[in-house]
Amino acid sequence: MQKKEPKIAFWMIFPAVLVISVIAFFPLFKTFYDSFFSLSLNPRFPREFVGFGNYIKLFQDSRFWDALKTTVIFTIVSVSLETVFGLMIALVVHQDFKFRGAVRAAMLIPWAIPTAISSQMWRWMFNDQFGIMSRFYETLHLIEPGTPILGRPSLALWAIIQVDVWKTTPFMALLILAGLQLIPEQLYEAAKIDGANIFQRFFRITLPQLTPTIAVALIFRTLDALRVFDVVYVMTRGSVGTETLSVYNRVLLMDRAFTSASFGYGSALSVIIFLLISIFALIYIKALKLQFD
Amino acid sequence: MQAKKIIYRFVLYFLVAIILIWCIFPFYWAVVSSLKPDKDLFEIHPSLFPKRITFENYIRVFTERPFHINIWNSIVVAGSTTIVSLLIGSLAAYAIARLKFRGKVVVMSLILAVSMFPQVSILGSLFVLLRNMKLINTYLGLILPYISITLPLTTWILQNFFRELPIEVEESAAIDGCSRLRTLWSIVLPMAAPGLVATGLLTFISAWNEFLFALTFMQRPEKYTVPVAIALFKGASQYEIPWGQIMAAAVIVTTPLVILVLIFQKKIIAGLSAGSVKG
Amino acid sequence: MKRLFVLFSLLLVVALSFSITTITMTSGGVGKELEVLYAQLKEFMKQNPDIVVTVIPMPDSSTERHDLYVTYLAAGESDPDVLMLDVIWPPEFAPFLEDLTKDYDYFNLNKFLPGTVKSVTVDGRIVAIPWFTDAGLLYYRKDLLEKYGYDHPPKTWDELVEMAQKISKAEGIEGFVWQGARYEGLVCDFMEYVWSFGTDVLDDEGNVIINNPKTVEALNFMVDLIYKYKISPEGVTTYMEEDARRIFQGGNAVFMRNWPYAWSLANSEDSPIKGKVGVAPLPKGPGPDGKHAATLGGWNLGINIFSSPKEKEAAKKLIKFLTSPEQQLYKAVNAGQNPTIKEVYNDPKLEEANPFMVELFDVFINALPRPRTANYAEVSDAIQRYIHAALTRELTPEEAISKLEKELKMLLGK
Repeated sequence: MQKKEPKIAFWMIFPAVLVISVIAFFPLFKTFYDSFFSLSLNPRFPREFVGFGNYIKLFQDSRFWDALKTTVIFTIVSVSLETVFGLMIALVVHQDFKFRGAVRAAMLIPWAIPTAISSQMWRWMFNDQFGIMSRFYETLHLIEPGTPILGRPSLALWAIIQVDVWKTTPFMALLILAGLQLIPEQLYEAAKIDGANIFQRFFRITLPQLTPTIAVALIFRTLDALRVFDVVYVMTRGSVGTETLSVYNRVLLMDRAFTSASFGYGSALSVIIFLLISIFALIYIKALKLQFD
Repeated sequence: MQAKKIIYRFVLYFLVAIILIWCIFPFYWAVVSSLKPDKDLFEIHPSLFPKRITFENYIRVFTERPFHINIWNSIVVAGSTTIVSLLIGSLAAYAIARLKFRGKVVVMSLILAVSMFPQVSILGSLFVLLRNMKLINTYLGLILPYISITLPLTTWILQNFFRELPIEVEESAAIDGCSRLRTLWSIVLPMAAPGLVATGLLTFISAWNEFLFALTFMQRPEKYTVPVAIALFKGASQYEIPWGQIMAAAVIVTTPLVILVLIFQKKIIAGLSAGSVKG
Repeated sequence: MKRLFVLFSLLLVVALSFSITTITMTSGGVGKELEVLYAQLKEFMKQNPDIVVTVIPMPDSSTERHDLYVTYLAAGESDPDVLMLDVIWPPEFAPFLEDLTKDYDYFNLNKFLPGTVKSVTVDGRIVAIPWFTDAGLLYYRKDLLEKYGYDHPPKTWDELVEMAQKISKAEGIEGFVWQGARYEGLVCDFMEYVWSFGTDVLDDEGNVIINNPKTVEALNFMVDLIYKYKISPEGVTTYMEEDARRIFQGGNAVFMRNWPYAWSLANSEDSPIKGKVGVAPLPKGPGPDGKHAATLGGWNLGINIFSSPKEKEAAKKLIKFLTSPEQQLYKAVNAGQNPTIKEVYNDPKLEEANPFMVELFDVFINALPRPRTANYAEVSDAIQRYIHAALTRELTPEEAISKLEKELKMLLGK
């Protein structure tokens, strides 16, 4: 019985490994390979080996640097806002109040709506003439009446960040809430006896106890934010200074598939994005402390 | 003391109200906008409640465009993805949770690594691969990539569920001469049914919501999945964006999701925590 | 007997369905374009009962159309069979288009305007048939100009600014609307300023000469239209053809830069400005080098190389029908899109419906092409990005031009 296990284990794992090998690892390998070629889906441009040519070109490409900058700004701002708001919301819904279960359930709604669809909902709310958010910001005197929020550089990126924060903060809060519920009540009791006030209790007990949860959630979110595509594509198509790396990469791979040798060039950008994410993924896996048996 | 408590309650409920409004408002606004006739919809100062209600937008979504076909596409693709992913995933998850074999960490790391792939990194090569297999604009051409992107999460969550099941039952089954596969099928899976439902729901939602692959691999309007169809909604005149219809379509497809999520919220949160924050 | 009849009719249906060829074509939906096309297709299918044509309407933005075509053709799809191609695309899409060189006589290409035939010839191969041609024009409100004492449309940009300022202030409407969104149309508009100021983006050998004081001045002028002279609304940076036309046709602007199609719409029965519209060549730039300039636009019909031989045959028939003199005349009169066959301009019906087409014949003949290169999409994209950045004041005109120069040099390797 024991002897047979590796064999049956192999056959149980085989389908999963086969699928991800063909559909994920093989294309990834192909992308790496293609990134060293000048290559197009247009037969007009023959395949040619260029070594690191695509990468050198990429590092001189100002549009690449702009996209990188936008992606980093988006990631830092949205992830930090989500963490701070998420923590605050978690603390609130951790309290005892009526309909707590229902409120927690409602918090899943933004997460459950497909990003492409919620982006359309927000695009409507940001409409310069009839959008309710535009009216709201005008009332607060944050913008002048008639400002096309999604048509203005600087404003558009903030609008996109707002949508991402809306979508992900409640989710983040629920993750942090799960961590909050694990903190033993005795710790607070003991602190109360020592005469610690509410802030001292927060900084001395809650925050340190939550750190692992927050850290993991943070990296997880960073991974997601770095590859952001849907919300940007739907809201602005990457115009007015909102182009992120993924959006630029799709432009190179698809929209430019026939012009010069964009396919190889796009593959190089794909590799860069992959490497960038891998750094964070490695940290994440380390943090998860993968252990079996 | 009493006063302090009242203030506390007041502040608490105030904050809860803000959180609720923040979370629900966009969805609420989509519902309201979809019910307004165009005249009320395109008003400089929109009213928070519909003054007049019309279902015209809901009718036009189905008569003026193939939205029902788009819904069907999404159901087929997300449904098949969920079934296959659960099937393959539970096999692998069971092996990882219960069987002893070498290279387990490697296998699990490989599977998990896929979940962190930036999708755009394989977009180009996958497009060429699917094109060469003549799978562009076919269901299979979208289901295959979806299986590979949902499989990691499915496997990971399921193996967590399997681990928490009491091992004694399986051991006694083994003594009775049950094969591993049989044990999995007739003992483990029924016991893990609640976990399977939650995992299936998560898989379904992530396949239902996917955008980048659907946008790239399904190019004809009658092949679009729901998110792509809604993101690329065009007016009949090619000029005006039919906001009322977009909102109606959004409401049609998000309402079932919202209801599902409300029903299964506990399971989903458990599953998600297992998937991301199991430290 | 009855059963036999059913069987027979079934057979007939089967036989018929085998002989019917279904083809798809893409088409824009700007103005009355689609309406006119549907009427033409009805006629075509009446003449050819064995062919069924279905239309895939395309987005307004020609950039979006381009991106859609790339995905269709990259996937090796046999649909759509007939592609409506922008005048600048043939070099890029040539490998995916059916070679029509041997059909030169079938399509009577010798009757076409030479410039349009040149635009569909790639490396000596004819890959598409010119369907209609375009040139940028200045639309103005005759009634308002008269009311404020101007007896002629502006000859120079300065004149335009002066008139627009005066009239728009007094009337409380916009002065000048054009296409400033980040898409292909912006390139067309930008090129017109550059040419009218007496310079160019590339020289005859294809060298990048964009970074010169005149281009900066031209771009500066575009920016000033919005922020200094305030005759163009800030929203112009999001406008495409139809956005501009709706404002102008609603009576809310004095001047508009647009293509010929806007004429018949502005003069349609329900138009508030019916009979009050004039058309003129776009104004000259300042100085001795300043000249009138218009960007050459227009669309061609090509055949998807992945279509079956039967579909290709049907597609050829359809293209021949749509580009025949009668249909071009019909399209010109009803959709306001310029014919590509010279003799059609002599038809009195055309002069009656669209007098400007005949009066401004020289403008159409002399319209200037955008840079012709297989990686035009990249060149265009670079121009769009930097010019749009200048229009939204992310970059100063100087910065935008010098960055654009650098990028163009990289793209073209010169």
